[in-house]
Amino acid sequence: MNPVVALRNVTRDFDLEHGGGASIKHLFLGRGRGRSEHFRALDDVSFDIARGDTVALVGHNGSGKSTALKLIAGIYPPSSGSVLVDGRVTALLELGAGFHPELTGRENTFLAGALAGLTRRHMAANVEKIKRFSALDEFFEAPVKVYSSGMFVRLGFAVAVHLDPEILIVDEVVAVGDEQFQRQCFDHLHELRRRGVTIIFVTHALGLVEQLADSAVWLDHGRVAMIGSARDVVDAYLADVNKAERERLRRDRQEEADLASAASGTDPAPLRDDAPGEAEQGSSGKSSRRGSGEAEVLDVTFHDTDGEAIDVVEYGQHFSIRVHFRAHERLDRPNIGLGMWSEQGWPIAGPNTRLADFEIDALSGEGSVDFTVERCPFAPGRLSISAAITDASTTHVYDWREKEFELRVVPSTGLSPTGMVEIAGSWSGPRPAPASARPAGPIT
Amino acid sequence: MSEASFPHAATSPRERLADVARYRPLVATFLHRDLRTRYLGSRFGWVWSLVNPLSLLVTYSVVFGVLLGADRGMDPSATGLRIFAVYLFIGLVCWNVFASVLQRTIDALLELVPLRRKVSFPILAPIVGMVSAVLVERGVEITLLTVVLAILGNVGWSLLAVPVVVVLVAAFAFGVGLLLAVVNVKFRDVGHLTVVFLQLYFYATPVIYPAGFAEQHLPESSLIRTLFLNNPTTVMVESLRDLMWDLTLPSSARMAMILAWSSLTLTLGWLFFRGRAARIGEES
Repeated sequence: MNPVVALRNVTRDFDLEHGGGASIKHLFLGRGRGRSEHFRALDDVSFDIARGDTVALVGHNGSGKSTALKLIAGIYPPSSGSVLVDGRVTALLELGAGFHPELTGRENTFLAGALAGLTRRHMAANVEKIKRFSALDEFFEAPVKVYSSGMFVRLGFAVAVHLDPEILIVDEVVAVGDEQFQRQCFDHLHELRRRGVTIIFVTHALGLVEQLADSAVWLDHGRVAMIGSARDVVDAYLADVNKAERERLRRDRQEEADLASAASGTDPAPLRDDAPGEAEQGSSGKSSRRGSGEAEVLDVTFHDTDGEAIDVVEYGQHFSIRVHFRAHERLDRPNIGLGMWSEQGWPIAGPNTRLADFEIDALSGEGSVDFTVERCPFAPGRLSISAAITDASTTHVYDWREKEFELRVVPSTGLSPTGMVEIAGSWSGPRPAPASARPAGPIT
Repeated sequence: MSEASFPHAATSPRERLADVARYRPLVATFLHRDLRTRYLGSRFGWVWSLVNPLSLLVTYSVVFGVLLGADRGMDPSATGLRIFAVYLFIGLVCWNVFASVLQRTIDALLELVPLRRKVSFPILAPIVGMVSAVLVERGVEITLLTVVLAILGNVGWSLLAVPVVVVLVAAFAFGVGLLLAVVNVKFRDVGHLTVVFLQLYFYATPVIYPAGFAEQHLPESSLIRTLFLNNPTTVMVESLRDLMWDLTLPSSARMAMILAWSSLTLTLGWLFFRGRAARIGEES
């Protein structure tokens, strides 16, 4: 591993001053201890970021994510510890920061380049690309004070990503602009990532974390709660958020009940069972195992047509997914299901025996069940596999192992599909259009 | 892993003098931006930077020369020139270098603080650019003055030394400015106090009156007299008058004093600025 960014025992304090008149003296004397309150935004934080990695920082508001970004961007130094950065950093902490309202888009582009320490020649070579990317057309030559906020942001993003960053820092800023521009931004972030730019970003859109990031750092109250693959961290973070949410709901209802009883002076009001949000919304807390345990999913394996176990499956290959189980008691008419998730965490398919009208009389002891796929339809990549055994109604879960298994699909000879799966279908034609309803223009 | 594997921590928030050279485009951009935006939207643009000092010169000529009759009572220049407005204008030019550089340094830092909170860059470089823009304007003024002097026939080799004195005055003002600018980020009162101070200081400096005039009225060997005569701006204004009015080189004592003041404030200002600049991004 070749780190380009390293935080070593970084602590960052902020003084929240309460208008102490004496502090002008402290200013001259250096770090005088005035009547100020300390707030510790980061507490002994250490992590490394490898060259070319895309890393997300997740955490609650006020967990220190933005402070960490600003330290890496060199906005201010740490109170103790060291922040080591090897490479040109472009920080997108606010789009269009530093634009001068009287200057044109073109002039501001050069201004931003100068702030980043780039030569005029470099910017001159890129200015047309920036103009095209921002789609400002003739407004590019107009002072930015006449821009709409959308135009301002478009120029800001266009300039920032063309500043030739080696390390790009993005703070929740791509959540602006219209749908089309957002897509353009994401495409470009992907493009930078392909080019080997190290990207560090903060977002509350956890889907984006899984989609874009290789790894993630979860900060909690200024401390590192977890470092790991994006999916693991998001799953753990979500589980924690959901737990806290359930906790909060329970407390709220308790308080409500207490209030109600205090107000009425009679028995506590019965807790409403249909409270919204209560219904185990958190149990989608992924990568977790749940169930009552009468039966267990022991393992999930993959097999070729000869029944040989295989590690990877070729796209288009005939293969089976084998669910190994152990039933501790006889279970009548169980339902065995699978879940397939894309690398980005999106559900792709969820076959189960009940949907397929494949009835299993009963499970007992150890055994296995196969789900056979004629042609592997999944695009090459890694899929997460969930496996579950439930009762016939699927309401009672014996064992549910969410995303605990992995299926690796590799390309085969020939073309790979665009998208996540290949869908079955057939083409036919061409046929001439019916004479009566011929469209005006040629359609090919 | 050791720190040695990070040969160039690009985003070190520490200010280095070398960054001003490394970020030359940044200096140039802010210089250009300030010059461009100053007269943006005005039809005559740059002409205004000539009209303003010129109108002042004419006003002074009328008020002091014609109405107050100051021309008659004054000491003549090296070539026998007796136009008080020109004499005054030399002092004013010198004062303007001092006051505008000082003021601009303070304002420049304040302007850069919100930007520095979002982008990391060596903050001295754009300040140098903005101050340079002010110096360009002063340069126009001085050139205009030189042309007037040439027309009046009051020229000599000493004029070649004018840029040296002007640069030293600017360095002095820049040093003081850096000190005040840093404090002003946190305590905005400093900026307002500076305006008031500059007004008073203007009259404590022999700009609209000859230094000899004050010397006559201040008691011999008093503290206030010593202070007045050794006041850095007095020495600077007098030196510029030596060069442009009397067409001689200032005494070496004067030059040594200017040099001492400039290097002292510049060093102090820079050290104080460097110590605080890394934390500018967190100031509000």
